[in-house]
Amino acid sequence: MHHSLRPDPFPETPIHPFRQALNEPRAVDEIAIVSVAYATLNRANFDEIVVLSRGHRSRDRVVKSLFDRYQMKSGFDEMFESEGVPRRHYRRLVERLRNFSSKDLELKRRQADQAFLRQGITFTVYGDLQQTEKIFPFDLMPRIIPDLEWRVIEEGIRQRVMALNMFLVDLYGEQRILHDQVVPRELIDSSVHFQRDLVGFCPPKEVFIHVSGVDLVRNHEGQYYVLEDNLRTPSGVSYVLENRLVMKQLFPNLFADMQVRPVDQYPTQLLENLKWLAPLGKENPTVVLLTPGVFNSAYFEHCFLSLQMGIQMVEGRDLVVESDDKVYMKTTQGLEQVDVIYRRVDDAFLDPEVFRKDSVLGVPGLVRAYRAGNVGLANGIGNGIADDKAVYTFVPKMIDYYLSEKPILQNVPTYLCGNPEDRKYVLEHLGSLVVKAVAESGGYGMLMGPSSTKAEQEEFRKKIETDPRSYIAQPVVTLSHHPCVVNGEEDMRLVGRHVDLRPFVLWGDEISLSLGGLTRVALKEGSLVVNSSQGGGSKDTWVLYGDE
Amino acid sequence: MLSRTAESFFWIGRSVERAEYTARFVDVHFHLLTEIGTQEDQANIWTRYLEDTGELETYNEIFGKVQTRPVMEFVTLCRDNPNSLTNLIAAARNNARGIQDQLSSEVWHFMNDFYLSIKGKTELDLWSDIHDLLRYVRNTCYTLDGVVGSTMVHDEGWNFYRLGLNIERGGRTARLIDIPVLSDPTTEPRRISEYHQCLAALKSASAFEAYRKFYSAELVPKRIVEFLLFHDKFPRSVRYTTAQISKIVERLAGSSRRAETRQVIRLSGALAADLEFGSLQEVYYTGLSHFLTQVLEHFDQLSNLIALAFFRTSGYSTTSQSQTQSV
Repeated sequence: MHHSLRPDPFPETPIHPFRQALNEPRAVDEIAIVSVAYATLNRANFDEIVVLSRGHRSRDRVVKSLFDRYQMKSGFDEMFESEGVPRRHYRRLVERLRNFSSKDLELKRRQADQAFLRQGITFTVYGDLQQTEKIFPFDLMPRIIPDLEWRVIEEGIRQRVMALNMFLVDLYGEQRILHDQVVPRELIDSSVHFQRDLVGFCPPKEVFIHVSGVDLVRNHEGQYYVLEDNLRTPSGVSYVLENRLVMKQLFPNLFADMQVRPVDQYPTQLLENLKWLAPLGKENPTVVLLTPGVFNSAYFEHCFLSLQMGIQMVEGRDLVVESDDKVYMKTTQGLEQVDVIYRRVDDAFLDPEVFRKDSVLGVPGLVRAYRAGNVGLANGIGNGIADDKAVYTFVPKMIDYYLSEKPILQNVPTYLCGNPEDRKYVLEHLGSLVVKAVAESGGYGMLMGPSSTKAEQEEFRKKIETDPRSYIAQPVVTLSHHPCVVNGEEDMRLVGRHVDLRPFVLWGDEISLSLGGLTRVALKEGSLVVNSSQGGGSKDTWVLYGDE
Repeated sequence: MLSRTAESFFWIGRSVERAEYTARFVDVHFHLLTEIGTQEDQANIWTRYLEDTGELETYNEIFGKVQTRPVMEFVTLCRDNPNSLTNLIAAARNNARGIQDQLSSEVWHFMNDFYLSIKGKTELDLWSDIHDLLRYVRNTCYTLDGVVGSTMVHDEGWNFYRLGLNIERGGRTARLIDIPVLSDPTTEPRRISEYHQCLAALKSASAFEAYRKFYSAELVPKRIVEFLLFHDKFPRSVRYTTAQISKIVERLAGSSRRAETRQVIRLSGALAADLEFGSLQEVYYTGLSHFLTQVLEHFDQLSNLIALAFFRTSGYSTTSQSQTQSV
């Protein structure tokens, strides 16, 4: 991805001075002056009364209204170094928002909710019985990552995805890593995600992982760890783009000052990469996005990305593979050939001729067309094996094996229940570990040791004893927290909530990362689970040009 | 355009138009019937209506004897009647949902609100003010058509929407005319119930005011038939809809040479010509009912051909494929 070195200076659009004061509180005195003037102009204006009352308060009380009421908890706080002392890269933001009152926050929050509703950025729970439309909870307080920190993340993820891709190429090819016994063969043989039929097939340009979303967390010391690699069909990038759009609407002037790097090149880059996958000699390839359909929880994102890229969104039933092993879409003008498919349908449902026979979401013959080189697919088929949570433990070894490098980002220490010693330890410590099913994702099939009941622990003990290969365990990582705006008993206030980070990685001519990614928040107090299906929300995530 | 998308547009047009006609027909008849009186007359009219729309059997299974009250529930909120107002709006909205990326957000939100509001109606709402409910549905359908027309690009999708709407509209108007009181050109409506039936036919096509301006308020069966069948500027006359259909089909077919597409053009053109150059004398010579049955058969054939030419993709893969490749 190409970035200019400096941000485009956001042109200051002439705003009514009092509006501006409202949007972005300046020094208290200044606000007091303009608001008094404004009040004489229009006494009935509600906004102005807010500003007015704030302006007349003593500075101390104003300061108490937001950050000073924020209480740090044990663990790593993203924004504050110690009580009342923001980290260097947050200083400017804290300075700018210092005068914000609870009422201002409420107003901004309402505006944000309206913006999301208006743009239709909703989670639609459209079951036939109960049909509601929910906003994906959005938190106003942005998460900031300084340049230096981001470079490490970027390098670390690049290295990791590179090694994982080499692993896939190897595994579906010569299997050197198994011969050399770096990764045990039985681990691969026992995985449901290993697509045996595809051994011997190398995808075009040796790329399996065109799009991934690597989940990072920070422990109590602020150290970054990789939790999952999400190499199949990761979602969430639409929220990255929409969150930024809404933040810019709400705080236009803040961005000019803060030197935030833009995120909006993602769809263009993705489209470019997809075109790069077209069969050789295709001048203007037809690219489509394959969605499982309206009932998929990420359907909004599928619509959003197709619109952003200006490509057709199709369902399995819109495509057909003819006897020439080419893929066509059924149009009102007849059949039209498709060259590249950005598929958001899992392997298992992709082609009933090869995978699940009962799938109606897929396209019979698609794998045939793919193997014949007549259609590009992103992501490749069979990535699930590298997403297996037991295989995950070997990623540091892969980095060493394929790249002869030391891993830049660490794995969370993981016990393989398939190993007798590990299993013994896990079964003895079920109450203090997180146990996960290796083939699951999205927060399903988990045991959170410390908050589990004896009965749940027994249930998992049985599961592990019956099928040890399918489970891993990890120590509980106390995720870092970040101040979030929540409804207090009387007013809006800032409280710490756990966060993670999912940067999105695109692989085309080269590997590029979304600048920042999706910061997910566990909005329930104390919760460590950030998945959107489990009551999570998200924040705008800022990568700075500099370090402060 | 994807065939699935085109078909969704087509069915949105049809379902919404059907809901609008149903709401208007039921409203008009419910209120006129109270003036006609006898239970038997009422039952006859509803039976006829249910036969016309092909719902009599379903109705009998659920409610048994044809009576005004259960019929009203059947055609408005009944979940087991695929053509009840609730189900028609749900069908339109489900079609819209699958092609959200092709709709303007105004259309989608309007449609979704419409659906949510009608879904929330209960029998209590129906009987507390039946006229209000029916008027709400009718007016919302009008508005929806306006939102579609003024916020969507008038491209292929919009044309399929108009196609569905006009096919439904033409068919429904033709059915309105097919009643005994209009079938004899020499009679004048004498009995009060006959007079009301004439009035109901016009009002059900929202044509009464237009008719009155054109011919005065005197209700003459011959004139009513002429107006609803042959008027060249009234948007719900059969002639007007067939002319629209023919134009839309030509636009959609473009320069396609596929046999199925040419057939659609031929049939829609023939139908439009029949109505453009047809005369009342001929209609009564053939017999009104017979003539209308023929027209309705043509509408059915046309629907099937449209599906074959634009929506069903299995049958033409060999010919179309070679075309795609040669392009």
